[in-house]
Amino acid sequence: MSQLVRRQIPIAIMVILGIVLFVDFFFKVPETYVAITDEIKSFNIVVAGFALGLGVFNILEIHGKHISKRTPEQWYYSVWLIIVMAAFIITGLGFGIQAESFKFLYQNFFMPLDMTIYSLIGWLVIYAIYIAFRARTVETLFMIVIFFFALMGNAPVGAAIWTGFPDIRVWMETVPNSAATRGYYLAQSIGAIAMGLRTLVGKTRAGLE
Amino acid sequence: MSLGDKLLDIPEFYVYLVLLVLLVVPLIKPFGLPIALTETSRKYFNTVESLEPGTYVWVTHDAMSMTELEIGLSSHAVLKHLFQKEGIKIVIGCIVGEGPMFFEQTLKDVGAYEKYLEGYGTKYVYLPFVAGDEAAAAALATNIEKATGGVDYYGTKFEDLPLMQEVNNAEDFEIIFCVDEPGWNSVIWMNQWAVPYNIPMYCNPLAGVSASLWPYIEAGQIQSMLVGSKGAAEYELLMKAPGRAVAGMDAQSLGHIFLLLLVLMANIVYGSKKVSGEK
Repeated sequence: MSQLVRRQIPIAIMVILGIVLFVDFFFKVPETYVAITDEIKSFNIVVAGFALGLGVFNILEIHGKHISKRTPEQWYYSVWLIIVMAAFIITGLGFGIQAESFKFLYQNFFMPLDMTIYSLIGWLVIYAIYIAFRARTVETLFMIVIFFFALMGNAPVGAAIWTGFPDIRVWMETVPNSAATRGYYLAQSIGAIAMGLRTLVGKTRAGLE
Repeated sequence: MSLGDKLLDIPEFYVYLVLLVLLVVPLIKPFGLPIALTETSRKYFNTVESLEPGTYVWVTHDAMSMTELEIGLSSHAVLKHLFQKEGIKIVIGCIVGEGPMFFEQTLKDVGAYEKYLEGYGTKYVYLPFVAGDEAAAAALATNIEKATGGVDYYGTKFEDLPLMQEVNNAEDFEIIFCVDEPGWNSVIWMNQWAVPYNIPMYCNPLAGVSASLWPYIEAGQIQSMLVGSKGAAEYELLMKAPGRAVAGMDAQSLGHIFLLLLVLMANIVYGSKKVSGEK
């Protein structure tokens, strides 16, 4: 019974839904069939909504443990995280995300912090490039040459120095870059097809474990 | 420590200090370096420019605070252009949770907020966030009313929005503009909307991920793109309305030159030390 509930039934649901949606995507199907797949897709949105809610409980569980165990150099961050999360949830659910109070929280706390952290990556990358881009091998020398043309092709100053820089950049993007990326995408897609087929025949259980 | 060693290991503080100066000065006093226009930006602009009245446009406004500073520049330019065109009907959706937080601000920035108050529901509609990433895009493609619960972002029912009586799935739209701030949503919309329904798609990706979209452009699955802040600057120039993106280009140029000089200097010192046999 346990095996049936925990494995066989979920696998059966996964296989049936997979086949139904596969047929819908690749073939012309009657309106009644489309109505069924519409329902399935809408249900998916509801499940995704629940997943977001589940994330809240997951965070509470993980950080609740840190607080109860007083994990060194962590527990006070966990307390702060839960306070902030509670503030957002209470304001969002209580007044709605269009309320000025929620917008105030979002625009004055989350947004500037998030923007700053992402922008800092740019600064860190500049220093990292200075430290890492040393022509120790032929490969790194090759990378530095590509870096040079990519940079000069992107910034307006490159075209101001020599009009050929943007053309070289376009060539790099459309020929070697496209060739390599296409190869990568094809390999990735073949892997996805194999994974999809395994799911359709009930061989993949990764999502259930 | 020799001078060579010092040049190979300049402390972060000094690198950041010089960079800060180089970025701030041109923002205060721009030099006005010429900006070369790329074919992709021209194509994007010409497409928006040639949209006929009555065209149904789907805009995916997948905005997020992390990358809004970069992509917000190009999305604002394109939305401004779209709102300037008479008779175009725009439905804006999003599958990124943060998207709605940027919507009204974007409209204010592009000067469309007053128009929004006038023409909302007939000229354009803003849909609520739909959870589920690619599955959400797929659901919107087949039945917008079902995917959104039949209400817009403000909770207004579709039956009270004339525009939503005219469209309900991907087939009803003639063109897609994708504001791709997470960095992977162009591919999602291409997979679920552009390719299966044969709709031309234009996207605004991050400069860092634009290279990965070239194969799709070459294959005709995505028609064109505005790449990062440079693309936004080009678009502003094409619109003859230079703004924040154009102003930032001189700073970007100086930052790039500084980085190149750093790398060049470090490699010259490193190479000379290697030739002389120093460790």
